[in-house]
Amino acid sequence: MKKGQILNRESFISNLSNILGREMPKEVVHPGLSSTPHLEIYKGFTQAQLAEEFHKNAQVNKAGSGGKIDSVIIEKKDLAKTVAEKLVEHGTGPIIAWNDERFAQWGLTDVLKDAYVWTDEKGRENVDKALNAHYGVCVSDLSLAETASYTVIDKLGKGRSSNFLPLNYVCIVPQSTIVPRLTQGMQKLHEMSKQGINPAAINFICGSSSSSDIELNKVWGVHGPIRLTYLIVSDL
Amino acid sequence: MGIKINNENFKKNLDKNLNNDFMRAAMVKAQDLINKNRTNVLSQLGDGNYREWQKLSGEVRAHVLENLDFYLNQFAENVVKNGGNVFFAKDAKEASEYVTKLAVERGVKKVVKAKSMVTEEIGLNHHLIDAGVDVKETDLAEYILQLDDWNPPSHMVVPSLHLNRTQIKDVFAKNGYSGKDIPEDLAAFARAQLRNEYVTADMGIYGCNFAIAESGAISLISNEGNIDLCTSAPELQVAVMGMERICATYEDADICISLLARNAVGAKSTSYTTFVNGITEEGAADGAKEFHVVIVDNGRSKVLKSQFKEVLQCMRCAACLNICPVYRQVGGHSYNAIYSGPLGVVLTPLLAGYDDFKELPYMCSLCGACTEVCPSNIPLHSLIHEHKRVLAEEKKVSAFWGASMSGAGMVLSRPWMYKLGTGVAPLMTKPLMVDGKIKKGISILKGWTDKRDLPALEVVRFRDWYAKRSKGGNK
Amino acid sequence: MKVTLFTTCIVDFMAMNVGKATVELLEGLGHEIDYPKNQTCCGQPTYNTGYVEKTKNTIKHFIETFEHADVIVSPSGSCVMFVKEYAHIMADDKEWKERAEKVAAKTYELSQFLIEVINVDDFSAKLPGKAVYHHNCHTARFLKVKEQPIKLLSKVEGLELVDFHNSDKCCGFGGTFSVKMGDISAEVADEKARYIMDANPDYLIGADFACLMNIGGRLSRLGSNIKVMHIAEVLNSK
Repeated sequence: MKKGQILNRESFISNLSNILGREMPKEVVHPGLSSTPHLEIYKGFTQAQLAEEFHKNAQVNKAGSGGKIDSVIIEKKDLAKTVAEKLVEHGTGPIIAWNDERFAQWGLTDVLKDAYVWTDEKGRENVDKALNAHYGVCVSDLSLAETASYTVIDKLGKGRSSNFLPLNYVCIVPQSTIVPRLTQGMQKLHEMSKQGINPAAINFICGSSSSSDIELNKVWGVHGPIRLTYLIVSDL
Repeated sequence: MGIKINNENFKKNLDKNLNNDFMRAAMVKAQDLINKNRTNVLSQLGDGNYREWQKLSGEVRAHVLENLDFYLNQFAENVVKNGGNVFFAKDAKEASEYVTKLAVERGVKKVVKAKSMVTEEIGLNHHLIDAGVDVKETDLAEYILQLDDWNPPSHMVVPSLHLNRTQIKDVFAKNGYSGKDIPEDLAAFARAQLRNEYVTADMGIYGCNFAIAESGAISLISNEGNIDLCTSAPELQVAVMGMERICATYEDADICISLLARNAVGAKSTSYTTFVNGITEEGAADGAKEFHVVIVDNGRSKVLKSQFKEVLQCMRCAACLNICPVYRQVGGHSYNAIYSGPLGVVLTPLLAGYDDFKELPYMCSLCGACTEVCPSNIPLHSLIHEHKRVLAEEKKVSAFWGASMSGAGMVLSRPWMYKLGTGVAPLMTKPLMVDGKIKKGISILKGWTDKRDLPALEVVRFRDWYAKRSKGGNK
Repeated sequence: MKVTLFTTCIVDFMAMNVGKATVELLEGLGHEIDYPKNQTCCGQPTYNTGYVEKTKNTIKHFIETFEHADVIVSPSGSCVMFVKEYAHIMADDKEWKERAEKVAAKTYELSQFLIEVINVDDFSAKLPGKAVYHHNCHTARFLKVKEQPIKLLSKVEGLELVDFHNSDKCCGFGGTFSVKMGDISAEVADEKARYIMDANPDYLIGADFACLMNIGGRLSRLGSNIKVMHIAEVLNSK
């Protein structure tokens, strides 16, 4: 891939500098925020309390979605059994999962033995499999209690379309990944960026695909997943 | 299409919309529903002190505008570090031509596109179509409007708000739908049509809620997930953004996004909050192999220079549309432009000139509700008033109002004229009186009396009563 | 206390009863009324239509007429809000800006004055029946006078205050907006009137006569018998 280019920069930026009545500064010191209400939300909560909040907010989303979103708090010893149950809860069909070694560590090899594993080397076949998948299985990289959101930080083996095409989604939320809100998600991205790591995509997801575009009636599964189930694992 | 959505006369268009009962009922329902949800989620944000968040968001946005050259430059360099390209476009034409040329050069046959106000503004779709590229709008509302022969959007967040389910069914029927006008069934039809488009498109085009200067990321929020699919499957991707849609840091974006979702859809978060950073990892099966960001000026730099610059803090949440008493009655199409409601009243004349939009600033009762709700802390009603001032004092658009207001200004600053005027007025309006009220006014009063009675002017004014009483008259 | 009264132009020549009730109410509480007879208008009609320069003489006239006062009270929150804007409008003229600030600092809307300044909230007023209260936008939103009138009305014997749908929304008056965009203004007023009628009150009460004239004009056209009253009239009902 050839290096990217910036076109028309000089005229565009210098026009703005003129309007702002000075040369473009070499450095701008960010004045910081004059108050920090975002840091106060769930401040000092333990992981267990955050898990409770995550679950509670997922249950609010459950009520708001007519049951399309759901969550349970379980222990690791019950994970395999619960995943197995969830993968037949809304009928049976093809399953797609990330290429993630944690599945094996958590004893899910058997449960996922028939799943198609995202394999980048196979190219577009992965996308077709995602398109036809009845279930998708993933692990949250970072979980936001306030909105009951899971996060997918893109890397090889996960795929992109795999996160948005399967009909039903099962997401494993290790309790240790739960933070108060988007604020901590942004802090993480900020730190990664400072180290020069800018993943191609970071997705914070708290629901299934929905729309209110027809007379403001909420409908679910308008493009992607219709259902989303969280398995919050208290000892992971 | 561009900013202007029709060539009809303002008044004629307004009358048509005021007589569209479905549309008007839809606006009332939408405002009440969205506001109820909005108020509810904002009360749960932190300790419920919305004013504090509003202030922060305004600060964050204002800081970027004061240093826009620096942050756009930093952003552009970071996009390149992430393997992307940046094109700075001074106007709609440059922006559309760049994207279209790119599509043609890469042999693109089909584009999947996510909803974006700025791509509407620059008229990108028709540019691409004219070049022989198949464009598929994927947002459900935009998909409906595209199938309805590019019916213009009437709301920034719910563009198809003016159409009812039967109209939507009829639109779909022309495209092979044979079901009923049930929203779930209609959406399922769209789903079946669109899912295959994502994975077969050669190019994805989307907008940008906030660009992050410190990393080069583009943030996108949606409930449908269609934007995420546009950012996932196609190998060639283009993000188009207004030059002001930028946050210095992720932390700043946190404040803005926390308010955007709550204000736009009345939810704590949209289903999907996404950040994309340039091209995908080497060897990935999907994601962008080539990525471009088009940064559009199209009149914004003129706004930055003007007394209206705060409007560039806008995050397009539509909270002002959803609270505006005028928008509620007239709907989005009455503003004759893709931007409607209070934001449209402020922005449209700035981007597209006063000539075609000189009525807009008067579509406001100056109630200030828009300013109160605005998550970007923009004094919208004051900016609307400033437009009126420019029209009145600089453009001198109305000789009638100019003369009337000169007269009023003279009378109100000269007590003897005021007293004389208010003294003879009851006599002059006497011929209009029916049962002690004015029911049929003439000239400018007609606007009032067509639907409202006007009280009779007092023959004994307060000042007359008070004067008489002070002299020991009637108590 | 000597209270300088700014009745507003609308009250002067369209609703003298409101001015009368204000005078009687304040006098009943033992205050002396000062009514500068050279007063005209706050200046909103020209200003809100965009004619800022043509408004400045009206503003200066207001300041000259009222700056002698200890305290200025008006039965219209919208006009009071505008007096508080004077300094901003006269910002380029140091002398007038300062004079404007002084006048603004001692200007109060009636219910605000009753609660915040003289702290009286019981008038032994009586008015039997059911009422709705319409909040004037400028009063509630910019002057932040929202609780005060409700508190006052809650003390009126026999009066039951009920809420109605979207009671905090604009009535559609908007000064010259009501004639310049008469069609739209009338539609806003119509919706407001209908929500009020749905609550089936005996009275519509407000603290700004402009809104009352607007909503009342629509109620009257719709044939409603709801009686429209300014809060000063209600508090003065015995």
